Amino acid sequence: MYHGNHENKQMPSDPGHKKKIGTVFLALLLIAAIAVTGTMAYLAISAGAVENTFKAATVSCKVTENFDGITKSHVNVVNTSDTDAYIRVKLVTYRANDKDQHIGGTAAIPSFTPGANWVEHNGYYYYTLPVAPGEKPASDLINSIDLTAKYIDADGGKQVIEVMAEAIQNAPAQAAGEAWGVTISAGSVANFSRT
Amino acid sequence: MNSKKKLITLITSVALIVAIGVGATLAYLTQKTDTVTNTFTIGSYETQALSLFEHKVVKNVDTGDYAKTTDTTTTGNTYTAILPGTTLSKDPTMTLAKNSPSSFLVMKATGLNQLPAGISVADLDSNHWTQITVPGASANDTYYIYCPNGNGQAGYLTATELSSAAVTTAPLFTRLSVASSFNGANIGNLVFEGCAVQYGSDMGTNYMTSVVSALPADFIA
Repeated sequence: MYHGNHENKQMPSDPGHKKKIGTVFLALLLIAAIAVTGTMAYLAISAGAVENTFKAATVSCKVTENFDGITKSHVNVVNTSDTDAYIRVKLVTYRANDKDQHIGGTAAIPSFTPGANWVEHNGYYYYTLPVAPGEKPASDLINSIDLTAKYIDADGGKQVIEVMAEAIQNAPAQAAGEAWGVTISAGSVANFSRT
Repeated sequence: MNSKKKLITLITSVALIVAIGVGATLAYLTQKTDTVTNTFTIGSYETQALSLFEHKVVKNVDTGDYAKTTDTTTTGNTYTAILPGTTLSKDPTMTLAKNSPSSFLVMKATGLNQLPAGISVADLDSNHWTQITVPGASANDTYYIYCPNGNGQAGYLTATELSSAAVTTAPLFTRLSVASSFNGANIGNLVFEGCAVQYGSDMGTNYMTSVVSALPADFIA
């Protein structure tokens, strides 16, 4: 009887008791959640991204000329860089046989008058104005020269003239100074001085 | 029967009088005051309260340097044909709008720690920006928190100073240097982002943990 009575009292009161425990648990959970949320809910605002793109310069050049086997004309250099550049040219001549193989014997560059703003300095011809990308100097280095088609001395052969061009960023000024050892200004070239 | 009736009448009368007395006792004048309504709204930053900008740059064809102009950009600059031996103006800066709450300012720099040889930050302002560690951040990202007092110590802009005008920070740095030995390697992109985190009085003195944990997820990713 006692046992049965006890059971009868327990059964109806058990759901209510559980409900109270559940309510207390939920309340505690809610308080905890509020506390945690409060800790993490500091206001924050972001600003839009500032994106910077960078591309290094490339410097290159290409010789242009007309050559019919004897006469070399309109010798010039195109600045194929993506930045303004100074250009210089070195002329190299030698003898070659009919198979265009380099042979002995002396050869000399025919005399010519460099175009405007081209200046010879220590074996190089410098165009003394910056050349814009895709452009070439306003005047040709060589308007026209004739090569020796056939040497009649013992070495024989024909004359070859190679046009070797270089380009360098025009700025800063020390670039040409450090790389080429010169200071370039309009119409003149001087040895670079670190002062 | 009659006297019984009288008795009942008497009792009823007395009961009525008592009832009226009680009623009178309960009828003291009352007056309600006006309702005091307390309204609570959650504080917030105004839209676009925070901006990150740089000065626009222009290339000096004579020197090869990129110099800043007076105009600003919030989207970024483009540097093309970068030459060895030059400098590139770049000054990521943040502005927090007037009437914003007391706030910490954090700047995220993506790619700044990945610069190729020959490219370097010339003058990072360590008096106004100090690097912080953000758990979970990408290896390409570095984070800096603003030091309003210029003493290298992180701090927050106060609502008091923000109540009178917007506050603009010192730039994180002002230029990049391109060494003459720079070989033209790919520099990649540099991206800067900003975030303001509200100061809370419950942060205490060791507030860095709170600030870092309050950074939005998309600011860390």
